[in-house]
Amino acid sequence: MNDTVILQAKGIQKSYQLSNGQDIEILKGIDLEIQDGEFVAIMGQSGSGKSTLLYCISGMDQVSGGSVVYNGKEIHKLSDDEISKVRLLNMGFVFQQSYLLKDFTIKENIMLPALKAGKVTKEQAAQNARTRMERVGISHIADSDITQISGGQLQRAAICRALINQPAVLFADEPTGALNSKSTGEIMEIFNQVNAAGTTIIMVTHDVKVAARADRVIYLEDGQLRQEYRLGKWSDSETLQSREANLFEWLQKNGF
Amino acid sequence: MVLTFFIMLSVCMLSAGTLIVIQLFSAINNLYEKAQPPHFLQMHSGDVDVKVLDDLAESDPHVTDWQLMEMLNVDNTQIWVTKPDGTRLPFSDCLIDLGIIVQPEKYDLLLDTENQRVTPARGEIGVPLILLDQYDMQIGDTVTLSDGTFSTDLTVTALLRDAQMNSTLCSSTRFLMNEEDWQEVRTHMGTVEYIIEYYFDDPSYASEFQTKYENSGMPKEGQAITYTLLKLVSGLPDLMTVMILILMSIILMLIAAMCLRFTILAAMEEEIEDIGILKAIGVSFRDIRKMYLDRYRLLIVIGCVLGCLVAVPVNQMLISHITAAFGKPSFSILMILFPVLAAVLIYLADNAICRKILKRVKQVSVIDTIKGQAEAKSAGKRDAVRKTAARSVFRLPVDWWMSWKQLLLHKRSWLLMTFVVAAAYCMMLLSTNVLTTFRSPAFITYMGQQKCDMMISVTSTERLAERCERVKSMLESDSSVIETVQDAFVVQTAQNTEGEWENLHITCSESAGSGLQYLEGSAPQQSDEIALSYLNSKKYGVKVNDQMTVVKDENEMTLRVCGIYQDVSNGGYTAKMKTEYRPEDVYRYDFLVRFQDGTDVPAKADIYAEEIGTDANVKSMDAFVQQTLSGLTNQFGSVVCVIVGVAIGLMILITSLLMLLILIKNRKQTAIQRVTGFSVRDIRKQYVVQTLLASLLGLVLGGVLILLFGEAIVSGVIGMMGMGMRSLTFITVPWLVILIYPLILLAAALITTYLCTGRIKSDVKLMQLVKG
Repeated sequence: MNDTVILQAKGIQKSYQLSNGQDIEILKGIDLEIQDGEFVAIMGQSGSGKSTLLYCISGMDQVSGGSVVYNGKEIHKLSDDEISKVRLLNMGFVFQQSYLLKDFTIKENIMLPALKAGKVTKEQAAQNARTRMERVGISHIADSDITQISGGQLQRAAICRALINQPAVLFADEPTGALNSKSTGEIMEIFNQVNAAGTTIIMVTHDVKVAARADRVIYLEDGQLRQEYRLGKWSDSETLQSREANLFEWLQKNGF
Repeated sequence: MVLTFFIMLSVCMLSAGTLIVIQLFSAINNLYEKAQPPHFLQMHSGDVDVKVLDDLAESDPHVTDWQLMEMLNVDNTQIWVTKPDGTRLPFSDCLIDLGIIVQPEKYDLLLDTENQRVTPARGEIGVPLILLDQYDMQIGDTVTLSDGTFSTDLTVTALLRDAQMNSTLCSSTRFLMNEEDWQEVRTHMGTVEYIIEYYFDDPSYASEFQTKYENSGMPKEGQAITYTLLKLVSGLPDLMTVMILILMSIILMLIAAMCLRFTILAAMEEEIEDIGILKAIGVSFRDIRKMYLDRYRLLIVIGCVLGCLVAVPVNQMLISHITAAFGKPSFSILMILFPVLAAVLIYLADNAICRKILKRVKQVSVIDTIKGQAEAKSAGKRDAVRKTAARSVFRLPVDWWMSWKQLLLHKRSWLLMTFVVAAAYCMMLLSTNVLTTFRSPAFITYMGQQKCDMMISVTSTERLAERCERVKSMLESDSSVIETVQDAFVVQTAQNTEGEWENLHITCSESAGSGLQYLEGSAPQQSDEIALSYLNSKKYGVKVNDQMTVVKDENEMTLRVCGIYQDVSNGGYTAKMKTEYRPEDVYRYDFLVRFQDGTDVPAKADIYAEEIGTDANVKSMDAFVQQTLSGLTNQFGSVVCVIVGVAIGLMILITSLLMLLILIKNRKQTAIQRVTGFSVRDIRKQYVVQTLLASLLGLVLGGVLILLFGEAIVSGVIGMMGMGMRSLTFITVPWLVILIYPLILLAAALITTYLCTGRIKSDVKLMQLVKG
């Protein structure tokens, strides 16, 4: 992690109109800065606006007010072609569901962003996909249909896809929400490896065990950033349990 | 909503299609019933002994009635139309003879556009509808008859539908006048030709009667025609139109069926997850089925009702031509019954499709449906596609590869587009090929004639030899003539399949029968060989190499049938021989003249016509073919325009509906692509590529179908219609059918797809879509 700010959100507001015409404000002016190489977890209760914040700062959703600057560019002012290119080359996304394209095999799903980016040859893209799959232990299902494999494997495939173009930022929304504890541990291990390799991670979670792996935890309440807690980089001298305990204590102390 | 619209479209197409057929036959029957055209007709120029005609009718038990009409033939240069603005339209370039009659009492009536008997008052005239295409006449125009000394102006008060001479394929057409006007004109100009008409208890008796009539010394200085032939010649252009309309309805019905299946499948697949959830909470399959069936039944019923309602104006639009040609069809209960039947049919079909799909849901496990893996069952098929597509990943650009793979996996959805393009292309190709064939100068070979530049016919038996010699010497002295063939027409008798002796009209010359469209065999080479037209070969029940006995003056001759050719002229009953003939047996001579290259044939024809005067009839062949078939081709031309319009409209409609459904179905997949970095432009490109591939396949399919079956279908229909043709070889305009039409269809499909996919523009609700 260095001191360069990779993503900056200023006074982000987001509101929706309900079917009865009434406006509902989800985000009420959030300021946030993310450092290059940082691993940030966003926590909060259901309905606090944490997923909405993630979508707004990743450019997947429009903001109602404020601005989001990524690498010096205000992402909500980019054209569709420009924002698509930013997503393709600089951002990766992992969700609670794997959201793979059902018409393509696991390997093809992983390769697609690389093929689209066209930065490497098609053969190289295939090789990169194989390497990624080997690293997460799913190379044996490379040619499988997405309907034929388990949720944990699908999520690994989704991570491979998100990382194939070596993005600067990985956005994750409850990436382990649908997984058992074993798979959760394995997936989070991958996240830590990716982050150690220099990728910034911004992750939404409600799981203390998962959030304890982040460098910094920010807590949202009622559309506002209430508190943040810096856990710092996970060093060899620390155990996960101790980080979890520290985070848990902080949450309790603040009544979250 | 989309489902209801598709059902409405299907019911509308099916109803309109069936209505056209019913109304057409009703309209034709109405016209013939009202107009009462003759069962046998003989034109005759010269004197007529009424008693002889009456005696023949009296002596023949099959004759139920007869009538004699006088037709005043007017030189085409002595008649013209003046529009209210003073524009003068002369008939001098009209190749059809113009005759004027007085409305008969009972038979062979000329009707107005409302199919009512017309009786012009003094100073009024009725003009034939068939001349309207060529000469822009309207009610209120003035028709002038003048020979320089005498002149009369008559106001057009009726446009006439002539059941007998309703086609430019006939050699003459009839105007209608008040009796007093007619008598007045007669005393000053024109020549009278008699129309002798007989009616029988059974119209099929006509051909037997014709032989009897011709052999018993009755007046026959002119063309003879039977009811069947009459119906054919005057109905031909409309029959062609009808044939195409019926083919079009069938294609529309097929498209409707495809649309339906696709829509219901798409709509219900969307609901499979919900059904899974219902199963999971313990609702029985029977209850789920009832719930969904009830919902779809309601949508189907709404669609059916709307379809029937929309069919009414659509039908009105499509039958406007039928109404113009034959008059209004009379109301029949079938006109209500058929659309209702169409709606019921579609309701039942939809119901069956719904039940079938719901049955599939029964087989899918609850877990699979909830997990969205209901499609896993078809993994085998996906494996095959995967292998095919995997090979192309390294060869194609990524968007093209994705499109190709998605197309293969979802071919059922895209097949609808392929089918619609194929159907649209078939409709356009079939109708255009028929039109260009009939329009081509080479069509003369289907008219029993060899190709030539000009034809001079000497038809009057009076001073025939002298007139013939005159023409001959003129041609011999013309240095621009490079070849002349002299055809002589004689009548002999031959036994038909029923054992009756019938007159056989034979054309004799040195090169008789060469250059025609032979179905079998070839032109006569020896004097004991005879080539027969297709209809004659059927009439006399002979094939190539069969022996045929013909009788002339009680001398029997055995001839070998050497060839069977196609001929739509003279009713298609002709024969060709390369034999000597006795000049006294000849009743007509035709000179087929070829000029040196670069000769101005129409100008030559005018010079010859001027010099020969009334001794012979001179025709420039190109003009002759064009004008003879102009009624058919003009009318058919507008039908082709309508068909091309309908085909393109259909393409746009079905493509937009299909895209709408596909976009809804793929909403989630599209959102996932966008999240992974594909822009809206990329995704639109994928849809356009898929449309392109599906459409190209459709074009190939349509082209191949027409190539394989087009001529056979048209030939089959023409054969059924009893024309003198059994097999038609298309004369196509390649740039139109191979280049322009496919480009138009492709453009329609691609532009529609591009516009429809505009929905996927920078979608602010991207995340909501991903989350489903």
